[in-house]
Order: sequence, then structure tokens, then C-alpha cells
Amino acid sequence: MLKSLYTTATGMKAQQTMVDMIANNIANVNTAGFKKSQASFEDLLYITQTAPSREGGSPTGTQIGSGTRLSGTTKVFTNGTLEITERQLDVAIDGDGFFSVIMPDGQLGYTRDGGFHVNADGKLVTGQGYVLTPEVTIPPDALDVSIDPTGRVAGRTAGAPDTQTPFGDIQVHRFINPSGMLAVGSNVMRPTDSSGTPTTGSPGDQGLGLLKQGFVERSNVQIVNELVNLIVAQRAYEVNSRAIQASDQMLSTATNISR
Amino acid sequence: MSNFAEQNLVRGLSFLAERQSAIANNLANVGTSSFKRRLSIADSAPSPFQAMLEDHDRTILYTERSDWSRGVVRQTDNPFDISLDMDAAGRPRWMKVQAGNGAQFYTRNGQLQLDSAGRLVNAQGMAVVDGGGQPVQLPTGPEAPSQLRIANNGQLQDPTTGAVFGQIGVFELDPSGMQPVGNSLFVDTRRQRPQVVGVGVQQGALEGSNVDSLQELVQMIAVQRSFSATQKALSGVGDMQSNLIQNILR
Repeated sequence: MLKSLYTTATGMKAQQTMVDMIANNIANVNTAGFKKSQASFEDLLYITQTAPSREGGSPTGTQIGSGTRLSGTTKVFTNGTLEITERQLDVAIDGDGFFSVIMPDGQLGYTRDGGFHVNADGKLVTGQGYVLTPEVTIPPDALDVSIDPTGRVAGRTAGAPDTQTPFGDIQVHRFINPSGMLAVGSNVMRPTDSSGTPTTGSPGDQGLGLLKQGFVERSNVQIVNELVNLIVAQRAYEVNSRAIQASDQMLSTATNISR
Repeated sequence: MSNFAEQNLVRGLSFLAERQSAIANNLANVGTSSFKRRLSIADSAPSPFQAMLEDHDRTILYTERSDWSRGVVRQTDNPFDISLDMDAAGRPRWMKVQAGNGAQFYTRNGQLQLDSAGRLVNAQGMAVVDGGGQPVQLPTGPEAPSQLRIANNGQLQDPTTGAVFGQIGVFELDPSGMQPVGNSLFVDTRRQRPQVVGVGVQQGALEGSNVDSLQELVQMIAVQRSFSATQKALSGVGDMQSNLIQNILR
């Protein structure tokens, strides 16, 4: 029957996915280290009814498209704004790079959420309790902790209140294609074949970002942009549903021929 | 009795249904990056009406072509998004991507990514090629640039060191033979030799679809009305025939 019915249905589905994605971006507007997603769509196959011909026939031919589909979602890795918190264990990466953590299944995960805590063993962990690797252990008698821009963690302890005792080093990791990573929730991403293997180094080395103690990186979601996208997606959804109505009416007109 | 009128009215109905499909496809792609709107055009047959009656010729020639105007360009700030501008004559400029089997396609969809080998690829994983038709490649591992700048001439640069890694090929050609094949890709059915120009790349922006939903809606209403009118004419022809049978041939 009328191909247009199926074609517009693909359009409605695409816009629905778009709204889902915008909703997730907006929901995470206050999530530390969150990177917004961007949906991309592409047109579907064309059905060639008349091939274009050089002489005689139609120079352009007749090709009818079959609609649209989601070709992929891309995380956009622009930096979020750094917000001052003055909390000793909040660390933001000013520039490129990820912290690496050990996930419960033993695999490595990567995150830009640097709101660290100390667990019962004195190790630096993320908000979900994933241990930062390489491990940094804060001794129980530490009086304060300072993290310098290149990742050196040190501080005064009750045993040596006049000197800075080194506690460990924070390293950061960079991917050539961070958009190819797999987001697994809890602000953590996993590497894939597409993201490539990470380059590891101290903050500031090889183009890696520097650390900033007492800051968290906010989400890079721009609420105004998302709302504008939402309006566009909603209108596109409406206009596609209108096309379905029109096709339906044409079908009903066609049925009336035989009366 | 000749059923010339009936045949042509039915042809008219199927043309209008096709047109509705084309409009539906445009509307479905209102959010597709760099999508080019398809126009359906009905030409009346070239021969005079009398000749048509005698030869039972087709009265409608139906063709489709793309509208090459530029879609709305929006800022995304993603360094891997690029948009291409138009040439001096207002025709679109193109880049080329290469599939795994070596086939090359033209596209204007600049949503690019890197694959694990450091090649610049599109959403289907097809490699973007330079002016010579070779895939554009970035170094991987420790030499990988931390930032990517894509200059207006398509050159990939590391802004911190100034190193240049390759150049995205930008091509100009007559678009009249360009056919869409889906996935935002086009093939040139006229197999022209494109002119390589090193200009017209804008980083951090994407070209949207050039479909104007208002325009499509208005056309859709017109199609709907014509469809009803053609159907009315068709039942009119049917009434004439039944009149003939009932009143004259009784």
C-alpha cells in the first residue's frame, strides 16, 4: 500500500529516539563529568524505479527514499565548566584525559568524575567505591592532602607534621577517539576497539590535561541548546504524524473509487 | 470504447501516491544531517494532445531530483564535526569516503570519528579520503595528537605542535548526475572527474537537512486535494459509462 505510511513511521521513530537522548542529557545537567550525547541520522535505501539515462529518457530518473534511521550516537567530549568546591579530594582534569578505576568485575573503567573519597583501606575511590588505579593510599594519620597539577598526592601526617609526605601519584589516560568508548553508567566508560588503547602519563605530559584540586567538572550539557533541540524534535514528530494522517486520507479516498 | 481517460486518471493517482511518498521521505529526514530534499516533478508529455489520443501515449512523465541548496549549519563544538560550504556557483562541495571494498562515495555528512587504526571515518566506518583518494590517517599511540584542528583547507593539524597529518579532500563537480544511495551517500552516475579544491571546510559545525517542513506540509495538502479531485473525475468517467449502458444501449 502507500509507501509513505512506512516512510513517515521511520521519521517518527527517529524523532522519538532524539527526544529520549535529549531527555537523558537534560537529566544529567548536574552530573559531574557527564558528557552529552548527540544523535545522528541517515537516510535509508532508495528504490530506483527508473534509472537515470544519458539520452532520451529522464536525466535524473525516479528514486523514492524509504525514510530515516539512527546511524549512531556520539558522546561530545568538550570540557564542562570547572566549579570550585574547595573539597580536598575533588579533582578536575583541566584538559584532555580520564582517571582509570578498577570496576567490580576486575576490568578497567575510565571516568572524568574526580569527586574522590577514601575507603576503609585508605585508598582513593570514586563515589561508587571503584578504586583509583594506580592506587593512592592516604595514611590514617594524615592531617591534610594536597594534589598538585601534575598528579603528585602528598600531605602532612601526625607523625611528620612539618614535612610533606608523598602518598602516591595520580595518572591520567587519553584516547585518540574518546567518542568510541562505551558508557556503562555511573560516570564510567569502557574502552573498545574503536576508542583504541589509552596513552598513559602524568597530568600535563603529552598534551594531557592538568589536575585542579578543589574543583569538579560539571556536565557539558547546555540546557538552552537542549531545549531548542527538544522543540525541533517535537515539531518534527508532529509533522511526521501529520503525513501519516494525509496518507491515510488518500487511502480512504482510493477506497471510495469502487463505490 | 476507449478507456484513455480512465487509464490516465489512474496514472495520475499513482503519480500522486508517489509524490506523497517523496514528501513523506523528506519529512522523515527533517533531522538527518546534510540530507538533500527530493523534488518530484511531473512533466506533461512532450507530444501534442491529439497525437497522444491517437498513440495512447503517456500523459505524465514523472521524475525526481535533489534540491542541492544548503541545509542550516549549526554549531556543535565537537572537533570531529565538519561542514562543507558551497562553491562559487552555489553548487555543493563534497568529500569522499571509501568503503571496505574500495568503493568510493560522495557525502556532505561531516559527522566524523576516528577508528582504532587512527583513520578518519564516517558513521558507517568508511574512511575519509584526501584529494588523491587515499584514506586520511592520524598517528596512533603516544604520537596521537591531543587536540585536532581541521583548517578551512581540510588540513588536519595539531594546534599545540603545528604538525600536519593529512588533508581531507574537498571536491567540486556538477551535481546533476548525483544519485542518493542512502546513509547520506551519493554516487555520480555521470562518472565525472571531480575538481579537487582545498577550501571550504568548517570545523565544529554540522549541516542539517534542507527540508522545510512547512513547505512539505503545504505540498502534501495539494497532493491530497488533487488525489480527491482525480478520484472524483475517475468516478465521473465511470458514471458516464454506466449512463451510456443504461440509457443508450438499452
